[in-house]
Amino acid sequence: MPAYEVEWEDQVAVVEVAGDARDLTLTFGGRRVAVEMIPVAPGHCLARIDGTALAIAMREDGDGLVIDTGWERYRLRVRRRLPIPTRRGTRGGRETARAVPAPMPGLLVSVEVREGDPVRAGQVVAIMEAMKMRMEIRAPAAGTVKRVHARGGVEITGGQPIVTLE
Amino acid sequence: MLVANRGEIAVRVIRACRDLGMEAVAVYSVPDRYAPHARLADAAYPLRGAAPHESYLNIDALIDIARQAGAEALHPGYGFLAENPLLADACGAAGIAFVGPPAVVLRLCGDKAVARERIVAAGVPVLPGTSPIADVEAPAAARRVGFPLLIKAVGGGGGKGIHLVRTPEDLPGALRLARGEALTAFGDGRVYLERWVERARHVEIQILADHRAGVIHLGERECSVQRRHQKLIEESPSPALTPALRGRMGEAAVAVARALDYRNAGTVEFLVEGDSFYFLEVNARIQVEHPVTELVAGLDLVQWQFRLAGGEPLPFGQEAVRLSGHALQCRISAEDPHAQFLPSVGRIAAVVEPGGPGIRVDSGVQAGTEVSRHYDPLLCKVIAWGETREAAIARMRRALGETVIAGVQTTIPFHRWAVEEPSFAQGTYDTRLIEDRWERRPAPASPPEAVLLVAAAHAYLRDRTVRIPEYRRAAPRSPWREQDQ
Repeated sequence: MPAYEVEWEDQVAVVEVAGDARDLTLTFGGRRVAVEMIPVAPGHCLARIDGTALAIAMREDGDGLVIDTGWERYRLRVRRRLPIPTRRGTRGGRETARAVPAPMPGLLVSVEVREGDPVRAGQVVAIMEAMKMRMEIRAPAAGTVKRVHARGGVEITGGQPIVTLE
Repeated sequence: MLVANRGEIAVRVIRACRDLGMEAVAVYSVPDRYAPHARLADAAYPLRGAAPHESYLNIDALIDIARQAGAEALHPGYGFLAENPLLADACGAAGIAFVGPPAVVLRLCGDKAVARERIVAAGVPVLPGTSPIADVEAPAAARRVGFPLLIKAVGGGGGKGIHLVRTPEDLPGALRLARGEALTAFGDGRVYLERWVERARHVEIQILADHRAGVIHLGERECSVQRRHQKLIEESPSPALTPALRGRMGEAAVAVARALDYRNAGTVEFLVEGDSFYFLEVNARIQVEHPVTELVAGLDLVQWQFRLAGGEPLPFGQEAVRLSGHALQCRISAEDPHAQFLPSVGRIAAVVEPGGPGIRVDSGVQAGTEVSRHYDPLLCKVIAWGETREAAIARMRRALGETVIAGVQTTIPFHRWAVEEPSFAQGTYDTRLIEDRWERRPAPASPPEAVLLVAAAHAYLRDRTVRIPEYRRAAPRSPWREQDQ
């Protein structure tokens, strides 16, 4: 799934995107969100985010993106994120280790699992705080916590693995 | 009826013609060839050039076209030549009825100093001020008036040629600027001084006057939401007036009209500070904000301009005027509220107008309209009526949410903020609303999550469109790609 780094002032969020304009699935902070982009007029559209409508105006300005919504304006930069290796080599062709990375740089508030814990898909594995928002980092698939790479209370960079599942 | 103007007011006048069964003749400059006013009229004639002095300010060309089209009357709209007595004179000489006050009244209203003397004599309060002054007597005169003060051009109007002076040291430089501007804009370098009230409200009274000395007023319009002395939101009635103050101001406006022997529709502007009010000036034209009065008074002011110009007397007196409910108007201008309201030029790519109960739109633009640097940035006006102020604001909030004008930056984001702003909702705002509240509102701590998601979705769709030809063929056109066409 392609990932994008959305930069606002000195903050960066990582969002994974899949699908097409009528039916996009975005993954942000381990949460999956359905997004539909409905054209209204050139440069104006209605974004339907998990069903909730948001009218926006958007224009590209150099390598930046200017989004107007309500009465505020946001100047963002969006970059395709170069893939980082999140898959380890498989052993015996059966088991797959999978890192759960931080979606953005910020404070790792807490890690909610310990090594050896079984996890369900979508289970909260960590809590992060960035851009004045707290968010839950969820397991992308069911598995077992193989390693915990970081502990709560430390600043981590975007893409840094928090835990590895297998 | 020759409609000697452009934009939304030309459309407004053409509509009044239609409602009265009259034929409307439009004039258009080179960039306005396909503009709505030219398209809506029964006939349309070209003016040479784009700049106002070649086109909508060209009295000879307008009179020639009026003759050629067989026009019996001419409506000047607002701005351009609306208050220029030379156009009224030229119409008179050509046997064409001028829809507005007679030239003699226009001259009197334009000469602010003489008008002011008559109004003082009529017992209407004015701010401390001077007659036209020479540079050498200005410092002493300024001390008598008191600071802060405004330098105003004798021939000025519509917020142009006004300079604010806060200290005696700033006076000589501002005086030089004001004189230079006044000379360029109005051909008259005379200026006078008037006290400036920092936190006042700007309230004006609509009047109608016939040729038999019949004068009525149609209540007030609150116009305190301004930037650079230009209005952005108007409402009627004013949340600041008590019934007693409203009564006194209405009587004062009628006294002003009588003192100037005023005819046709006009506006008397006042500054209000607490329970006191001061005469500012007479606007001898239909105004941009006339629709709010139309909605509360239930009268078509442009039709009344036609009737009064045709010599019809007012068939009712003040006691018959009934004002009902509340109306407000947001001016949608091609200006960027996120960049100090700088004008934004370009081609209108699309327009979505609001509708539904209580909403009126007076617009001069459509998809394809070129917003040029030559003309006023006003694109259209959204006007809301409700039985109460709260109901009118709720309808305006709804209408602004429906409105889309693509291709240029507009004042819509500012208006959406204003209808949510507590001091606006409470009706306690003054002329410093934009400087004190909009420009100083706290910056958001971070974008809403939805904005981050939309940004990523946009980047993804853009990348897909470029990289995967099948997608590009199969997908509906992305709205973002059309921006630069």
